[in-house]
Amino acid sequence: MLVVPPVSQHHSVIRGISMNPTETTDEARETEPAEVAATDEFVAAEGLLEEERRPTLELRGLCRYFGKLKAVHDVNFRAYPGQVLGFIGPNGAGKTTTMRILATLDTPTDGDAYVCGYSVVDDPDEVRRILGFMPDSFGKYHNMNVVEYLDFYARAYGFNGARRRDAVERVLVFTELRKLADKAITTLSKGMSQRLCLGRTLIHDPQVMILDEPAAGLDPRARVELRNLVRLLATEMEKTVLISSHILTELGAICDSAAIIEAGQILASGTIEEIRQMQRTRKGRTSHATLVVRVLDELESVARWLADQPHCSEVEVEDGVCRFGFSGEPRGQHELLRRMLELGFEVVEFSGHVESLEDAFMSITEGITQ
Amino acid sequence: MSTADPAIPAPAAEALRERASSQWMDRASDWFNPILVKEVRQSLKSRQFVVTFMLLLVGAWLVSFLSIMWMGNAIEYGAVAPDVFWWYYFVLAFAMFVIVPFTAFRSLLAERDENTYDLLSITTLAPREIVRGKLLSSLVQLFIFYSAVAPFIAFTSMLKGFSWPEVIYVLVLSLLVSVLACAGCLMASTLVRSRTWQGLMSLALLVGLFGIFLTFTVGDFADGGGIAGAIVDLTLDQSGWFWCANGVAVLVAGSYFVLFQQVTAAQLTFEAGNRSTGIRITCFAQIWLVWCGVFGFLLYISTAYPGERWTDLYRLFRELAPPLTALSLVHVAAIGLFASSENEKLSHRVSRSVPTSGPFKVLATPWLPGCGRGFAYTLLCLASLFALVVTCSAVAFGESPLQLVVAGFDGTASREGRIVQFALVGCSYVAIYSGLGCLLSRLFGGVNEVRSAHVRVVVLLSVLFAIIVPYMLRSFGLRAFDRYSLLIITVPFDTMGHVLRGGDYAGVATTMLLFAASLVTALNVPALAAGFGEILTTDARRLRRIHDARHAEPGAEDEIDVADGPG
Repeated sequence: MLVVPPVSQHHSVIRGISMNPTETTDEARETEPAEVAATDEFVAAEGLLEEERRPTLELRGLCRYFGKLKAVHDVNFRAYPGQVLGFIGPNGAGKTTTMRILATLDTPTDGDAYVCGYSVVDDPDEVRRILGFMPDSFGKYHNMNVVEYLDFYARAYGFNGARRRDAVERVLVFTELRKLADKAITTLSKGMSQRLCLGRTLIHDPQVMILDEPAAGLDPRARVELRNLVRLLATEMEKTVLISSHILTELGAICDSAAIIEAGQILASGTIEEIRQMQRTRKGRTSHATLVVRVLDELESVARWLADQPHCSEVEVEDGVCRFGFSGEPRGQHELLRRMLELGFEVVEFSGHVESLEDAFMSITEGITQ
Repeated sequence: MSTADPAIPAPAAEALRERASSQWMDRASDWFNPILVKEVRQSLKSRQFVVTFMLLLVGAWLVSFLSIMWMGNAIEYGAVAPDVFWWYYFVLAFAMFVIVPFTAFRSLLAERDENTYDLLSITTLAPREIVRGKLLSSLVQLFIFYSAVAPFIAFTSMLKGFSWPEVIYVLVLSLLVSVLACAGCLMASTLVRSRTWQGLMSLALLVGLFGIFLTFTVGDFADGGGIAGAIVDLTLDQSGWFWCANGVAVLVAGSYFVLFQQVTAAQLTFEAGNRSTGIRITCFAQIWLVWCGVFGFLLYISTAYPGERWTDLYRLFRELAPPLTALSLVHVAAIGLFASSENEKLSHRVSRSVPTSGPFKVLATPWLPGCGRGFAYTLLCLASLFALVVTCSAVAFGESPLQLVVAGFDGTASREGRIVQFALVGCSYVAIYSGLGCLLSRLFGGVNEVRSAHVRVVVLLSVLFAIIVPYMLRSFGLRAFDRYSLLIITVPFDTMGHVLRGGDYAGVATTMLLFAASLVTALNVPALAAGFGEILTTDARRLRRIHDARHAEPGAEDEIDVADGPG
């Protein structure tokens, strides 16, 4: 089996998010736009359109304290149209608090957040028009069916007449809830409830969507379906999606980028590849990928040979396989495999051990609880 | 298309008609509040509503059946209509005064408990619309209950002794009281968050609502028992005074209805929004409403009824003025405490709504949020109240306002002058405690852990401490506390009562309290200056321009924020 190790993902920095220093003083906060400006310069150099440059979601020194507890402390990041940004952190890290502030359900102690340029503190009304929030758990009204539920929220967002009916219909079609339109919402399954909640979030066609643990409690099929819907929102509808989840494999599959938060502070942020790279750097590794070679015999010889090859490092033999770091390009991997075969090594497996988002998360976070 | 069209089968025609009517209703519902539409839809399917409705019908049927059985032949010739109506009213009143207001209370509370309020609050519905929607759905329930009882009242109208004006009057009055109770219950639901407080509030409301129900119904309706019965008796032969009193009652109730809505909406309003101005204006208007009513009444009497009747009313004013002043002071103290302990800084959002011209800025300052401005508002209310009491007293006693004010400072003031002195002492107390709230708010404004609620609690505890300590010393048998002395000047009731009686220490106590109030006001001068200064330096036009430009040019607001701040 030949598995090509992952290469840098296709998205450019505009689809990524600005890096955040883990320790930021007040002075540093004041100078924070400089780092943002660097990203903007990069974007300008890429020749992107003015509309594309504008972040749809921007957090600037966001803090939320509950007494002495710093639930969120100096959080900065940006997200852009069409981007799915994973928001990762252990329980109590401050994810939900941050999301609630973005959704205008809470106010920051300090700092601010902007949605399409509108402040969540000063312009909550405008923010509510362009933002959809899906909480981790949501209450259901009694004596109400699916259509009535969506219809109510369409009205609550100021939709009338044909516009309201169209909005409900559009959401029913998108979430594939048409056949359950007359079903009481309290009798819906967990998966269908999540779909309904996603539909409610979409009813006013928001530019930015905040999804807090949308996949929690869903069965595998429902998770895949939800994942596809979220992906569609970003790719087809150019929406900015900020999504939190404990299921990191899910996030790894749908996110362009991620921000890892622990004890109220952002520990790492960037594209998924950047975060993986950060993990390797933290471990003191310079390689881009970890490759695994399995041979029929002469495993020690293979290990010795690999240790002398360019781009190869940290060779170790373990559990009947040889694992090593490789810092070259994909073509270099192909070259390496070809030469091994030429030398007569009986290779039965040559694969890349892809460091997952979960690995990065475990490496970056320290398990601090507040 | 007509249903008689032979080309269309009957069931299909029926379905078409149903669909057309449903579409018409759907279109019509666009005009209504979304909460109302939702709640009506839910109510129609709700078991609680159906059960209440059925119980109401069963109760009314039972009343009909039992009254016919009980009255026997008397139903033909006796004036039994008031008795029968009272029983129907009893059944209806329970729904009106207990079930519907309590359902309104539970309705908003359930939104929080069942985690639906968050999603509702982030829609574009304004808090005021949410409150209005909840109130309207209560009103719809009331109309449905009225409709259910209407046929029974129609039946009663065929009995002897039935009076349409009386019945309509009682039903309209009950409806207004019920709507006011619903507004009060909605307000109560926003004031409590924790389960324990919710439970206590539920209990308190149930007791209060049962109280209203019993007040309106207990007693023999025909003999004028209960408020409703008493009113029916009064209606028959009342002059214009009866309707005048009704007008005043409706105005007062209306002002409280508005106040309840303002408070409820303020509780639901986002932190950066303006939660204060509406409440301040309403409370200020209430004080003016009451005292202008009194003033108008006195002015009318003094010109229309000179002589003996005038003397009676003069005595009436002398008796009524102190409690009315005390009630007004409690009102100002309550709103003053809240206004003076708000966060000092104006949010960007509110800054944008500040008037642009200088004189209007000064006029608008006391009405805008902030502790310094709240204290200015309290002083304005107190000054207004004092001026109104003096003016009314001048009209009632036929003395010049200046004479009365001078008499108010005099230790040997006349009985008329003591009312002014009483008002002055009360105003001093309110100024002292509101000023304390303002001082504490500024002192702890920068501390994250301290919120406005904490400041309010501290002020209330201070008031309680100042009242309880002298009483405790008295209970320990200290003779100095047996009679009024300056040692118990911290107790407002005792001091104000002493002043009204013209006691030995009245003059000294007045001077001391006035001095203390002036001192607290002087200490709050920086807060007042900051409050006015913030408004005067706010360039709302520029802030609005920047705000409008922000969407088009993100980052533009940074320059403003750094350079100018909101103020």
